[in-house]
Amino acid sequence: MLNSWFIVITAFAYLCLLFAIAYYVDKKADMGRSLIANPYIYALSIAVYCTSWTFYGSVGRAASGGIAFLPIYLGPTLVFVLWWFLLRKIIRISKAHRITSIADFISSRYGKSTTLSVLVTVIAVIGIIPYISLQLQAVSNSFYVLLEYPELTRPPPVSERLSLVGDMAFLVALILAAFAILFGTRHIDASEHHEGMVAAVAFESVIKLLAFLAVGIFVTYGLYDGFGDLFGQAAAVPAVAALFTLGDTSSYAQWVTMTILSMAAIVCLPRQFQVTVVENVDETHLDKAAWLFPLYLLIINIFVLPIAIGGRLVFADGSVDADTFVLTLPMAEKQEFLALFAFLGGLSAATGMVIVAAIALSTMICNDLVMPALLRLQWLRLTEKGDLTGLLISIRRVAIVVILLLGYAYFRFIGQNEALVTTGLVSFAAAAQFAPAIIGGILWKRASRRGALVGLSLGFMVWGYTLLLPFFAQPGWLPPEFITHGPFGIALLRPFELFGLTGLDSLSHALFWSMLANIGGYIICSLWSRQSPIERIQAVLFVDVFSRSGQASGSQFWRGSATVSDLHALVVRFVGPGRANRAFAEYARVQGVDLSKVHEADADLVSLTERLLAGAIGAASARVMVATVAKGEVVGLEEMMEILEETSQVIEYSHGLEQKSRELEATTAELRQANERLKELDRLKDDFLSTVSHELRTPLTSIRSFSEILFDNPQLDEEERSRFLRVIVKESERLTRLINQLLDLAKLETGNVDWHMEDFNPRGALEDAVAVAGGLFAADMVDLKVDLDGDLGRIHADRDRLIQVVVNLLSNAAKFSPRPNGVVELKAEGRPDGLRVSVSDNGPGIAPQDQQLIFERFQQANVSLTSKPIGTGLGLTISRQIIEHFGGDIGVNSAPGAGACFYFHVPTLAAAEGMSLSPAPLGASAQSAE
Amino acid sequence: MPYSILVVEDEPNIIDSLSFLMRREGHDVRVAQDGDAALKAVAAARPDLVILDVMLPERDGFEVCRLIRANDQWQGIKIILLTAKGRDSDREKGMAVGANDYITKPFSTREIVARVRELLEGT
Amino acid sequence: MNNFDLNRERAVALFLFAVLAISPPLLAIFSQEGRLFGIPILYLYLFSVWALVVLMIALNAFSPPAEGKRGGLFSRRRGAEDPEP
Repeated sequence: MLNSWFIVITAFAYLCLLFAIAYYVDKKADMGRSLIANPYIYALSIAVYCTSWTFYGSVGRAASGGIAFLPIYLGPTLVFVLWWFLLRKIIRISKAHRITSIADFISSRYGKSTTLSVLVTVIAVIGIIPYISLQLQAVSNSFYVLLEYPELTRPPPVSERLSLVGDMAFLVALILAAFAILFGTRHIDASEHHEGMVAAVAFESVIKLLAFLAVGIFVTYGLYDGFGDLFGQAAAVPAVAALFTLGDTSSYAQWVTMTILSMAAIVCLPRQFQVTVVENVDETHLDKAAWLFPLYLLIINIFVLPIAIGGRLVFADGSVDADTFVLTLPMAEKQEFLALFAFLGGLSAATGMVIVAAIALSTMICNDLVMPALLRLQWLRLTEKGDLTGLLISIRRVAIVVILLLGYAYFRFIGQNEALVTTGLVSFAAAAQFAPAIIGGILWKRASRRGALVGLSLGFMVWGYTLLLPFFAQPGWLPPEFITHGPFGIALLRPFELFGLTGLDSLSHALFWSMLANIGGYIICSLWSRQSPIERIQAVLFVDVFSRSGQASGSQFWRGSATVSDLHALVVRFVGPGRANRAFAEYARVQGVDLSKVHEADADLVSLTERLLAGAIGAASARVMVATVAKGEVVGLEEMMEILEETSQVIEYSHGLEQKSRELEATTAELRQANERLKELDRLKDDFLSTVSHELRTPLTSIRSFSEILFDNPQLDEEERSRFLRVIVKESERLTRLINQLLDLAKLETGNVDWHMEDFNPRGALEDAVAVAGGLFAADMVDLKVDLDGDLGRIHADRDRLIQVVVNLLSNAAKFSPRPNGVVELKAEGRPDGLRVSVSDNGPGIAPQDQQLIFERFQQANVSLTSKPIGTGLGLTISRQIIEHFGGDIGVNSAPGAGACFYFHVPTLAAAEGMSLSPAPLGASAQSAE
Repeated sequence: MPYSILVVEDEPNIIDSLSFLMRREGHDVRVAQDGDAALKAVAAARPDLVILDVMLPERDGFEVCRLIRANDQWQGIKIILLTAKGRDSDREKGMAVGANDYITKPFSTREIVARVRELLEGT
Repeated sequence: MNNFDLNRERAVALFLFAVLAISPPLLAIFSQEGRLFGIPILYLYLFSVWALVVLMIALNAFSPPAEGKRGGLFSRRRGAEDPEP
């Protein structure tokens, strides 16, 4: 049933489905509805990283090297851990500068250098062609293997395959070219998103994952009884069990090499740059993609080793190519549909890569290779001709076809004998050459154009010599002695053992030498060359992209005398009238100008023109084109740099200002707060004075009234006379007491008190206090219990003041005790933390909300509605001041109706010594307290 | 002729002296010690004049004054506010709530007698 | 912004951890013939570390917030000593 026609039709039906998806998504996008603007599609599109190399090649690699296939997927995971530094920054820069490709990125960074963009494009095309050929090879191989079903064979040598026209791989290449042309060159602006293409690639990522998992589950749970069984059987075969471990030292070296290569590849491969950076719709999608993509890699790799081991065990005789295990294992078990599904999975993996790579490369070839060249050829008079959009599109389309044909040719004539992974790693090593220029470019301002040029050239040359050239020996284009003995018999120049470096595999060897040359050249030339002003500008704009997000790009420093109509005409020629008109209208709207009435363009409009052109033809060409229109050149470049540096200073200055104004704001807020507090204090003072006034006037009123009454009424009888006189005396006493306490409090609060601090046993003072207050209790018929037993320790305090506090508490208690049956208890005890004295009564108690309040001046708890508070209302305030001066605290425990217990603590000398390791001499502490 | 006078004050000694002064003038004197009691006393028997302390527990003198003025049946009652707070703002407030006079403690007995007389006989 | 800095530092720490976890010395320790739960030790180790790293990225990844509101910096609690009648 799996005859050739069925397979071919299925494959083409699948490709048609891709076309349909891309078409549908593009249509929706044209209607303004993006179906791909979410992090999941974004992460799946990044998974274009997993090609047929992953799908077929990893298994092949694992079948011989065990776990050694894994670094290719661990490297990208490592990079995504650091996505903030790298990807986020690269994306931000690319959006700001309308970067269209990796060549554009590097060229823009190093002063919009055309030479660099050409060099990068050449490296990319030469480096990636083998990679594309690998995909076609995988498609072709899998087709031939499947075709022989139910026979299990190795794929036939390429020379025995069908002629060009009948070759599946060639047909696929043509179809992919058509797809890339249809969905990759729709817009003239290459910095716009290819939504249809992204959707198709994301869809393919799903298919290849499902297909691979299906095969993996089939092998692990169908052929075997789960992981344990599979690995258990493998362990019994020593040759297979060896796959469980890493081999000798060289496999560790290779492990490190591949980790580094794959880390570079995920950033530097043109197609990864395309999907991750150019096609990125929203920077925040990185948040989820940062872990979704590594997760995808993890899942798709779980079954690589089981399938490889399964293949080794089932095809123990080695008759089957390990690169085809994914296909041949289901076939051996007569699982036709699973085999077909696996074939489609492999096809997905291959086509996804080819499509994106073709589009990315064609953009580079057009913008960074062909256009600069054409613009230079004076006799073409391209700079003067009319609409160039057609030309641009055509160049890209031709480029796509050429790339695919080159890939096919490479597969047909050079790379057919290599394992998939080997070919892929050669491409990785080429892409890795971009890493120093990119990473250095976004982190290191001094990195210069010359450094990048030298580094890239050297690295590329070493790569070509140590990795690519040996490939040409196999089809016989180079004599084998070239490799074994070196060119002209010079052993030091042997491509695999350059300068006598042996002991490394060819890949690690090549990576070491190429990176040494690349990074060395890059750093040395950067440090020993001067940057041109535009390089410095671009360097600042790239490295500081996060701190100057407000500024679009450096080209705002144009000050040429361009006319609006010239600029408009220029944009029309490269991006078409529709887009040009829209962009200019938007500009006019935002700037609030009527462009039809303006003749001279301002710098902003020139910069807009350059950015519009950059999206279509790359930064380097755009600069050249704008320069043709904006006469008077750019503002002297040195001047530009000055402007930029000035801008930096202004930014810094404004940061400083911002900081200052923030401080000012803070100070203002604090002042306002202080002012509020002052007002509050003023109000309190006012209240206090008013209260004092009231408290003083009340007894005075009685005294004056009765004095006047006595004076005016000499006829009063004796009894009344003496009653009135008694009132006068009592109120005078009250007044005196009040004035004394007020003065006392004022002294305490202003610190004008003469404290007689001494060390003494408090018992005597407490007994004295009881004696003073005793009269009150006798007169008021209140029972006073005293408990001063136990060791009270010695305290450092003013004896008289302590007595004052206790008397105050006792008299308060006496006042508030019920009559009769009032009971007041004075209790003192020496505790580890100091002396505690408490005075409790069985009076009405104090409501919780009043318990803090009563220690404030003139605040007395309302004992009842009818009776006026007794006393001056200053006693507790004074007591608190005194106790706090002793270093203690005072408080009350009470509940309404359950009496009140006033207490205070004063630290004893023993407690104070226990707390501080080196107690101050007593005399000194006494002095300090004065 | 004897008038009915209500003394509203919470300080017993001041009640004592005011009562003495008003009785000596020949008036009937009743006493209330807080705002609520004052309002009850007014409701129970309409006084001709109220000597009203401002600093009262619960309902203060301003409030009592305002409530008396708000009641139509109690129109014409004379009110003298007594205050121990010497602030001008209090005097203004007292006039605003409708007091006829405003006396600051400590007051002169002759003055308060004269003011009372003036208010009562001015009608 | 502090959170952003913190996450950035965490990302660096996680990166260093991941690099060390898959570095040759550690691999050599786990590169043994034996099996744990029926699974080769190295294979189990690598996928566990990998899963852990993915989980940590997921927990740590988020965009820097938009320029945050600067509030509450000086909204001090009213002093407790303020006597409120």
